[in-house]
Amino acid sequence: MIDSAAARSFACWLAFLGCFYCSGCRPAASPPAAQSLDSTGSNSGQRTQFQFRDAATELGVSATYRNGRESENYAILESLGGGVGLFDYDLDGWIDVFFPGGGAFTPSKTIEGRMSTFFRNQGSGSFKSGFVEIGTLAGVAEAPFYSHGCAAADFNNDGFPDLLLTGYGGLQLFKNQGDGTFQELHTAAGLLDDAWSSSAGWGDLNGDGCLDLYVAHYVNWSFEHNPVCNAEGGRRDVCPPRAFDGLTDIIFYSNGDGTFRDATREAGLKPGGKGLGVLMADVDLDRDLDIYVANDTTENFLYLNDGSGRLEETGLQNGVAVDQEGMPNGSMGVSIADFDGDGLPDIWVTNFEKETFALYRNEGHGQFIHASRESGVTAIGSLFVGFGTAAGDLDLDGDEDIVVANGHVVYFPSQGTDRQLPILLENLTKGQFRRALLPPDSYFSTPHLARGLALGDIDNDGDVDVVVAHTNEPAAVVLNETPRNLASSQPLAEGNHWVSLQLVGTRCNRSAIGARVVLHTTRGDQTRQVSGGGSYLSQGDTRIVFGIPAGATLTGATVVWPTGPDQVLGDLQVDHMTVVIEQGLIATRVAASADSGKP
Amino acid sequence: MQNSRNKRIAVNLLLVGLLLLAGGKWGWFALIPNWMAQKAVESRRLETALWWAQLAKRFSFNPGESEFIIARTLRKQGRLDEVGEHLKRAASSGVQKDRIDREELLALAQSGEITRIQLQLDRMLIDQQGDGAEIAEAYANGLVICHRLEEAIAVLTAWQEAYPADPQANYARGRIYDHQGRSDEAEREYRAALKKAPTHHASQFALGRLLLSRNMTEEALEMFTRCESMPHNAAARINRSRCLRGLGRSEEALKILKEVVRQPQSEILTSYQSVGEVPETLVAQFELGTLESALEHHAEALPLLQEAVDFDPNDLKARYALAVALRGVGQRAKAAEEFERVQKSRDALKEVDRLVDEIVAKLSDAQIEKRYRVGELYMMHGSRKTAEFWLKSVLARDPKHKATHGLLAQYYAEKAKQNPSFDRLAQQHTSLAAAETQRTDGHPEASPP
Repeated sequence: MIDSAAARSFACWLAFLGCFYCSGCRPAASPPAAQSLDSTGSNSGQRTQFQFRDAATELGVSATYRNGRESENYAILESLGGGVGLFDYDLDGWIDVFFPGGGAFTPSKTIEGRMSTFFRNQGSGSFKSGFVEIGTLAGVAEAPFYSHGCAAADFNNDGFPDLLLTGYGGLQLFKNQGDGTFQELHTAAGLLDDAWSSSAGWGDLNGDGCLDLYVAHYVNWSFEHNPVCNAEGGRRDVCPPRAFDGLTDIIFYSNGDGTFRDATREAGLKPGGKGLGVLMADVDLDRDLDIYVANDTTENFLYLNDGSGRLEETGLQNGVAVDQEGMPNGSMGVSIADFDGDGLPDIWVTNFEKETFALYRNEGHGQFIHASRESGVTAIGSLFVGFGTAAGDLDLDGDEDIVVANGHVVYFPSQGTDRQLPILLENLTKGQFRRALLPPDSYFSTPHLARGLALGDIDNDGDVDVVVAHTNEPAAVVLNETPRNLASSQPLAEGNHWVSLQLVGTRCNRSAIGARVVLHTTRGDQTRQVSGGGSYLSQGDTRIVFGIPAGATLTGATVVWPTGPDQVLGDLQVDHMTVVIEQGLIATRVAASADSGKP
Repeated sequence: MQNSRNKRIAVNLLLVGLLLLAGGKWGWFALIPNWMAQKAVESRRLETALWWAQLAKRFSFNPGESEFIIARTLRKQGRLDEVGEHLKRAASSGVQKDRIDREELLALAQSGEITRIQLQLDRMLIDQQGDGAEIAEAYANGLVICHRLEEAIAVLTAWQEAYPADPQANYARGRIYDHQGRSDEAEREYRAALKKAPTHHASQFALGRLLLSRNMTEEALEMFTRCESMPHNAAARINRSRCLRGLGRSEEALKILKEVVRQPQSEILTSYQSVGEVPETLVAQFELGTLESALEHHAEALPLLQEAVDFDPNDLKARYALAVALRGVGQRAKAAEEFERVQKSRDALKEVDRLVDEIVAKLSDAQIEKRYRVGELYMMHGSRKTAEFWLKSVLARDPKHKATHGLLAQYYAEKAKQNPSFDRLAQQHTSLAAAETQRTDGHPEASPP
């Protein structure tokens, strides 16, 4: 018989065993306390309330790029879409807008071009007059081939910007005659190139003061080489770029007399590539232009220039050819800006869906590192197919934000629809980005099949507006109506301000491509470049707009001309546009529009 | 008084002793931990299952059932080379032969030997003996290994109909869709699994990975955070750090990775196995190395990335990151060498895209040589796991393909240097290659092609 004490001991023992099983020796350690998830990590109190409105219709801009999809050829040619060009062709101080028209397919499988459209900005003291279409009158409407992109610059240094048109089967060079009309002279100028061209960029690569031309080529598609590709479910769809071979790009060097020579070998271009975006800028700050090419599914190119026009492709070694995992992406659009305010130009590239848009941070001496994750860019998601893109200080807070035009390339995307939302990335501070807050009626809240994109102060009110070309739907002229006093807690009079500079070269090329400006304020310096090409199939306005945040005081600027010496500007006025002519001869101030309608 | 107390203590001790002896002899004390282990296996908490089964072994002189559970758990973890030993011990401890045979068959199925045992598996599906879910899972896994994905989906669908509350069928189907690039469908399956079992960590992890691949970083972060309650959570923490990086919270990511990288590689590997993944590379070192580089701490990045490259010379991501770090510390010549190696491998792998397109365009054709070439290219320049997959797809169509046996023999011999359990496979493929050489050439050939 077991006495009661023994029974109690046994009970205790069982209880001990039970505790052991139930709690005392669990195989798993208890999980660490979940950290509170600050989903954005942002200082939301400082976020800008952006406002953008598509005013194309009220301004009289009616342009639709057509890609010939209705013929159901499922040609990759349809995927590229069209660009937009912003430049002041008549030097009246107001930006004019050019749109390539695209093309069509006949039943007999011939490829035709569609007419381009060109809109003259009628602003004169006031922006309310809008635009008028003058493509035919000006002589730039005809497109003998299926067109895609445009690039504007003063190639003959006569003071008037000229226009290049790219596309499937040729180039068109429209020389601005200074009387409101253009003359097409690609043959006479020696721009002979019948390959499929996408983006192009102007810039003086060999320091002779004349603009050279880089033209990106895409792939070897033709109706003779138009394989059948299927989407999920067996439906026919557009073939991916890997079904084709890439074409070698072409570079034309100026002969100094308005004609060009094919300098592809002379410059040392790399064969292959599936070029879609081109940017010409000084990435290593050695006062000559380098070239960055965004290639579709193959490594992007970075051509470093030795100053004489001899180029060396160093994309992989310099960290801008591939993504953070060393993989080439489907790259389309490209832009350059000093996002983190360290004085070094960083490179921004838009990519295909399921890839990350790339922010290559400049570590100095032309060396870059992929910093999309560290900058918060990856958090926007990866279902976007990014095309046109540009950097600009859209809220005038002293750093550069990013705009991206998106839209799919296939008829039947595996996820979502072919139309996608445009993206505005707000630079919160030193290159930390978050997707901007936008009201539901904003242009950025509506999906589009967007391609080309360009920035420019269309209404001369000091802030940067956005023009976007869509495929098979009207283009958008998106006015920046972001209230300037909401970006800070300061009273209205203490809100953000701006300075706009138009550089005119005299020793260097007249378009001043390659020049750099460092703006000095009591809150530090800002650096911008006049670059050639950029975005995707598009030409942005070359005027440089700086935002000056509330509380900062402008103390001057330094212009670093490609041909030197530097020019110091001591008495710039805020909220004014200033024309700066190389060698300090003149600094003409032009008052901003008094009727901008801004709060 | 004192005597009485001593007596009581002696009685207590005697009782405890008897109880321990009887419990040990008849396995009473193992009943509860074995039951817990069984429950953990059913709910896919495989590390927990192993812990309980090991505990049960300690409480029993007759550990047959515990050994059987361990074997099953190891099989489910994909540690197939360890299964046989535990089944042997289970058999010698008296577990019924038909259960042992069945488990061996499931291990074979899971290793991809489907063709050889398909009839037996079909019979087992009819006569399930309470193991329906196990059979379906192993069968489906085996079909996946043989790239017979549609058949695998059919098995999984039948499984789901038979066991509607089991999240595993949804999870397994999600993995197949994931592999096929059908990410919407994969996401639906993972979410369905989590609806049935909100703590199904493998589904949480897979969904997190899918969301992260789409850069839906915030929701991915939530998934990986939930996975951190797993006993082995290094994989979850590594991926959590990737999310934090994506959200610009680099310092938090750095702290996590520095902790994880201090863990033994075996622990990190176990954490991945517990969510159904087998990384070929040093993931933690790579992640920390690239993060250090991104923060311009190239000197700190260098040894980590070198370690990753040494571990797998075909790891192009790590090699590229190593080149970037070398460049960052000013070792430009070495960096250029590494960049060139990356470039060469990438150029070689470009042929893969074309070949895969051609294979996919005519899936009904065997296309043996193209499959072999894809495997060969991956073996030389890319993921060896992917290479193994393609080479097995050759053998599924041509079991006597000499060159494939030769390449696999080399591959397994290499792996056997780190894990001797691969010796058997190395020898098997070596002898098959030699036999095939003898058959075709009429004389033996020592070295594989």
